[in-house]
Amino acid sequence: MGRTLATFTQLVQQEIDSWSRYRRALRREDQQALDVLFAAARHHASAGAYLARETPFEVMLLSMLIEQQKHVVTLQQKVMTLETRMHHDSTQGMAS
Amino acid sequence: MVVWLVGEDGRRIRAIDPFVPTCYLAAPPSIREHVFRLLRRASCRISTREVERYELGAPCPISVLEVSVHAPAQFSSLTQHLIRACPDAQFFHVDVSLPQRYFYDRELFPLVHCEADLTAEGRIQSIQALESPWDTDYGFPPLTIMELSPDSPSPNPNHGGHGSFVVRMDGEERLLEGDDADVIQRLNQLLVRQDPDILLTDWGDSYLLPRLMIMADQLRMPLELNRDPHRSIGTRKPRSYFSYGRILSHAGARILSGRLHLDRHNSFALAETGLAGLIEQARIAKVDLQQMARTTTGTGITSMQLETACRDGLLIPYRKQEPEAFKSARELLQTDQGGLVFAPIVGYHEQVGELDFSSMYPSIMVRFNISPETINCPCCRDEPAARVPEIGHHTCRHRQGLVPRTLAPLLDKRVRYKRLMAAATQPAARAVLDQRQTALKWLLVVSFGYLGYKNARFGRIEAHESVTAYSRDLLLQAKEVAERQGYRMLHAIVDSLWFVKPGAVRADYNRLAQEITERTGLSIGLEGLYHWIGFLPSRVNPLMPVPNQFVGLFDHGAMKIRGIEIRRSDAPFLVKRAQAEVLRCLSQARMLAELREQIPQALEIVRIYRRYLHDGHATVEELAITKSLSKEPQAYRHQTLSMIAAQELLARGVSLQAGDTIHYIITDADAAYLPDRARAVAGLDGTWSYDVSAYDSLLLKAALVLLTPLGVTATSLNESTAGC
Amino acid sequence: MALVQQQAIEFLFRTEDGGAVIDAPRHLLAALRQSAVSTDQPKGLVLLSGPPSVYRLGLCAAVDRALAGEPVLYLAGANVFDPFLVGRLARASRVASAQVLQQIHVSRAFTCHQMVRLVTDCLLSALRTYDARFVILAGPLDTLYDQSVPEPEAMRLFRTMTEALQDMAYQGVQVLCVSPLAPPESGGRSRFMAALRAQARRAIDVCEAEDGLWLHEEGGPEPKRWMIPRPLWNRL
Repeated sequence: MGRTLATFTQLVQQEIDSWSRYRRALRREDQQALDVLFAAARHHASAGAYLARETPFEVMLLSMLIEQQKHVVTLQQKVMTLETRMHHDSTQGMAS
Repeated sequence: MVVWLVGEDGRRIRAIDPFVPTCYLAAPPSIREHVFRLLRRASCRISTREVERYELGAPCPISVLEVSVHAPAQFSSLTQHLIRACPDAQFFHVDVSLPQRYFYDRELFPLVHCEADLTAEGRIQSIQALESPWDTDYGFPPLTIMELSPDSPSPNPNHGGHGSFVVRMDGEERLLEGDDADVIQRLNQLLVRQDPDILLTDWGDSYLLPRLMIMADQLRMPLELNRDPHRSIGTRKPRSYFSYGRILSHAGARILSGRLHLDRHNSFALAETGLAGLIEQARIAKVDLQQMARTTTGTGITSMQLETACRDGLLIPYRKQEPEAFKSARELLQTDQGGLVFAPIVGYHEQVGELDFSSMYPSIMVRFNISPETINCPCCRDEPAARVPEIGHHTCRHRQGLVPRTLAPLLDKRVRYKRLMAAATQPAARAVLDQRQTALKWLLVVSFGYLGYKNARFGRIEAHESVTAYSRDLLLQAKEVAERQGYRMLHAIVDSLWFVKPGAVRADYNRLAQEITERTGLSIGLEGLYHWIGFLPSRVNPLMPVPNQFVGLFDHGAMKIRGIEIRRSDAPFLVKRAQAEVLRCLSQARMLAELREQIPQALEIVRIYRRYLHDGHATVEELAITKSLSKEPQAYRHQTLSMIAAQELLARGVSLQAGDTIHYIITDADAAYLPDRARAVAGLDGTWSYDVSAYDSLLLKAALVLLTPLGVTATSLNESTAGC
Repeated sequence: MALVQQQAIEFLFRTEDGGAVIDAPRHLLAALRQSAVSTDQPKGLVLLSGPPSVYRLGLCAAVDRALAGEPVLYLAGANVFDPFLVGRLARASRVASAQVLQQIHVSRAFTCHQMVRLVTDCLLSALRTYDARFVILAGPLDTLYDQSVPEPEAMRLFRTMTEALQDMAYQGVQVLCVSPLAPPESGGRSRFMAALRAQARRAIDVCEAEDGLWLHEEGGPEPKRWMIPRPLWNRL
């Protein structure tokens, strides 16, 4: 007795397929961005499957946002490090 | 029932046990009258009586007619006749194989050390086991083995390359040559003189024995393959079947009487667990050895459940009829899920620990009492502790189910074997214990699938759903315990989890395993600590993570590899060897920084292999690609390479079916004339050459999958290893 | 030559006053209700057969009833059920999808013995339990094609099942059989389809074309044809 319902990974694939015309009409760089978003949805397939909601697209959107949020935090940290270093450099510069 | 015994004096005895099999039927009086009329016409002695018996999970017994057939040989045809004649009656105990019934009934099992009381004519007066199938310290039975193989270089003699026969016994090897009459005569002489208990063959079922039988038949000569002169050789036709989403082929069978025929190329159990494992399975499952060698592991676990049912006096239904109980579409959405799989964090990581729940699914069935009759029982509906997590089912808290009753001793025995293995000092003894515990592992693995298998006698979809629901909950509990302690989960597949925490050492991971075990009540252990492990990206889409595709170096020096060419049967040997060498090179590194330092050396390996390919040195053995036919060869629409090779074999008169394995080399992947693209390995003559660029790209792919996460791109790999 | 009454199902994309866009899926459901699975006609077995897309059409009919607050029994014989389609249709109708999913009660049969048992023994009590009067049988013949069950036995099971279905239909239960065409490997068992057809009060054939999904019904006073435009079907 195999599975009756599509797996979340299959649902992501179906969603990707349903956006294929949209993707085709995007510029190359935008297509790449779209692919990264759907990869994020795939990456969190386990959480999506566990939630088991009948409207999976909104679950995929949230998965994409999670990855976006992680990127934002990473960038914030990098900016903070750079700012600290700049601040350090400038105070050192003043001291010398 | 014919029973073959080996006496303490070494004599091989053909004994007869007057065994009377029974079946049961439930039917209204009018149908019963019809049954009685039919039974009166039967040609053997039959006795009947009214009895009360329980169906699995039923609160009250039902009244059934017990039919005893005093001639076991007629049992099957008689019951089939009854079933056809009385379609509205319910039948029980009709389709369990009689040797199994005999073993259950007499509390015996294949190759058991037993004590028997025989009359002068060989009739068994009494027989009883002197050991239990749950014993772990039994030895190899005193059986003699003769090996018989084709003397052919072909990977499958059915696909061409006929040769003579090789016989091996007691370390001596004989080639049977000459004309057909000589071969048959020599073989008969050897069989009579050596009188082996086991005939161990290569391709015996599909090729050797059929060929020998045809030869003997044409020459009107006897063939002494059977020890029992009263019986002919049993044959079963080849067929294809589906298992776990794959199509497999069964090469048919040649079953001997009084002697065991085992075919190394037609036995999953023999290939996976060796002779010691096959014997372990046959003893535990009480399935005749020749049958166990050729059947699926599912037959073994089913037999164990049937025995439990027989022992407990339960009726075994002929056809399972109980459908799924109605559930709302909302519930279906929640329940129709498998185990959880967390996509890996792609790339190489160091100091990673892998924790595995041991035999997770069967352990869940035992611990939470999951069985067809315990799920949603009427007695425990309102008990909170009986609830299955996340889904609406509950399990019985009062009576242990049939499936847990069957599995508990199996789990226990495997643990005992593992303990003995850890303590074993002799490598040979450890190898035997390992084969036996692997045999048990396979029985445990399929026990879960059989809960959901449509034709399983004691399966039920709700039980299947409950097991996966528990597994999801347990995996998340394990994740939560680990994350609370600062571990990061890199990957998880159903019952295995990979964690990392800076500075964590073996003792820390062991402590983590201990805590998860305490929290979940299910045993989890440290499978190993990796110096480093690389979760590898998808080759189709590098953005997409692929579960269960990794290479890792354990701290004890061994590597664990999943999902890449070296583990795949369809990769050419040359590609596997190149990948193995790259891996050996990477395994010199203990830390990530060192891993990156190994890249130039790895590239050099790839360069040498590419040059070897380009210089035309590669041999057939290095280039052969093995593929299993996923459809009947006539049904293919696209001209894949394996299809072209299959057509070539078909044209040569070879018979092929879905699930068969074929071997080919790529000769010219882009040739306009399709047959030029690939050639079958069997019957390959000197007039072939290989497609260098096709193999070159396979080689590069195999290297790239390992090196991409270390920053090597396809272009840089190609350029840096071209030098030829 | 019989005059074929031909019409495309009307799908308005705008209101009469040229206002807001109307949800097309809702119109599909309404049209389906008026054509294939009408409630106001005498009860009986309705057969919807054609390519595998008939499963989705059958599910659309189930959702339509569930949206109206009516409980539906869905017997899955081919291991096919798509709750995500239910979710999309519910959303298009501005109804909480969980509520619609709760109204559809599913049981799966994986063998023909289970399928027949489901129809003969379990269905009546389920109709009472859920106070339902509408049953969808999705892929009732699929399990009967299983070659491991001898053909005479499959024939007997088929008869038992259809007799029970007819009984139910006479008692006022509406049964919609949704069945794809017999697969080529079904051999002699392909006649089950013809037999089911002969027993149906109405038989609607579905076929897929470039422009959309065509529904065709013979019998009755005159043959009828409807069409579901491709863009709408693809949106489901």
